[in-house]
Amino acid sequence: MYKGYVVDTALIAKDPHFRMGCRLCHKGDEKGQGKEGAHKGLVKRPSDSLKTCGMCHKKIADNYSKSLHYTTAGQRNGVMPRFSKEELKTFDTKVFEQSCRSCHASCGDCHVKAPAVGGISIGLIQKHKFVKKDEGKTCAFCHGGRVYPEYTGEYGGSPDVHYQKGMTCMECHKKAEFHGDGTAYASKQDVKDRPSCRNCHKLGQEAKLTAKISHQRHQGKVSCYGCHTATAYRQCQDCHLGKGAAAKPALVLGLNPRDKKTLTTLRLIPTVRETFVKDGIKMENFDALPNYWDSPVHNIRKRTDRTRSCDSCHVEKAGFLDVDTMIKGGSKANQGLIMNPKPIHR
Amino acid sequence: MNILTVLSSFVFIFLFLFSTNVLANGSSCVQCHTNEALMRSLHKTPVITAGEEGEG
Repeated sequence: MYKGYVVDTALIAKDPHFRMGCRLCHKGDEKGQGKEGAHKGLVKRPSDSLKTCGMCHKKIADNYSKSLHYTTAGQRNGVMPRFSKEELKTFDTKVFEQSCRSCHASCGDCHVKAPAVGGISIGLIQKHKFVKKDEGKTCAFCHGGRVYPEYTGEYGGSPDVHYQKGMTCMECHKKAEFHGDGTAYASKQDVKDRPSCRNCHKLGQEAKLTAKISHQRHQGKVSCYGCHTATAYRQCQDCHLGKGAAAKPALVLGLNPRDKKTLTTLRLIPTVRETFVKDGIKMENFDALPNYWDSPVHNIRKRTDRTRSCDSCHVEKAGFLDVDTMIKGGSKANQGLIMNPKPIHR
Repeated sequence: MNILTVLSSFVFIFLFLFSTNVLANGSSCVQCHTNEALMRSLHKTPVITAGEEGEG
């Protein structure tokens, strides 16, 4: 959209970022004739190099160089166990930098110009203002396939209750999660001060006795999402195969692959056996990981089918992963996520 | 440090900031990128590639 290229004149006078001229960050040739001449040597995304912002914001840039939004290490480490040693080398040289790492967020993606997804970007967030945050134009673009539309209700069903109460991403996800805290984490699971329902909703402080009893009974056995995810959420299939994504809504309940004692909401991982075949990677250890991963579904409601009736899980087993609902030709590890809820003796 | 040194430092800083700001305002980058009509005329609508959405 052309408006995404328009800079606010008033900003230039008052924002110190513009004091040293456009070329400091964007290079190019100010004396060049026409668009082509002026754009010769242009750096479209100056903050792809952390040295640019690091000239003034050194501490933040240093931390950010280790953050997961920048390293995308979570993607590499998430799929790594499927590879043999040789395959991992091929993955690192042929796939990771060119594909996964190309999705890293630069400083500018959140603070200046919304990232392009599928070749489309809304451009400058607020006419080149260096904004502190504008989640709907930044987070929502990269996380707009699953998380954000589920949160706002755009994917279907009701919006997340937190969204209805006016909460945006950064109410739960703190600044250190984005900028990093100086530690190079391998996965988002390892990040300190991750959002947790219990940061606000303390156990034992429930208003209703039924809620208090339910929470006590299921503590350590079912995640909050297991009961409070409102409805079916997006399950992506066949991605990374060069023929686009196929997505279906489904609620999938099963054992957490990282903690086989807890029932939680599972989401299909779009990595299938053929995903990296074109790069010469067969994934010799494909079955080391399941096709489903625990997912903090952003579709929370106080009352759901599962909170209204014990029968939803204990009799009907609604949404529970089983051999029939499991994806066909998937990992053998999927079997280990099946859980049969115990019947209730009344 | 005498008063002349202090004064000349302030004058230098003022001139530096003034000149760089003028440079920023006066550049061809600014002339084009603050002109909404020009940006509209130059903009090419991108081709939408099917099936690609944010993943997370």
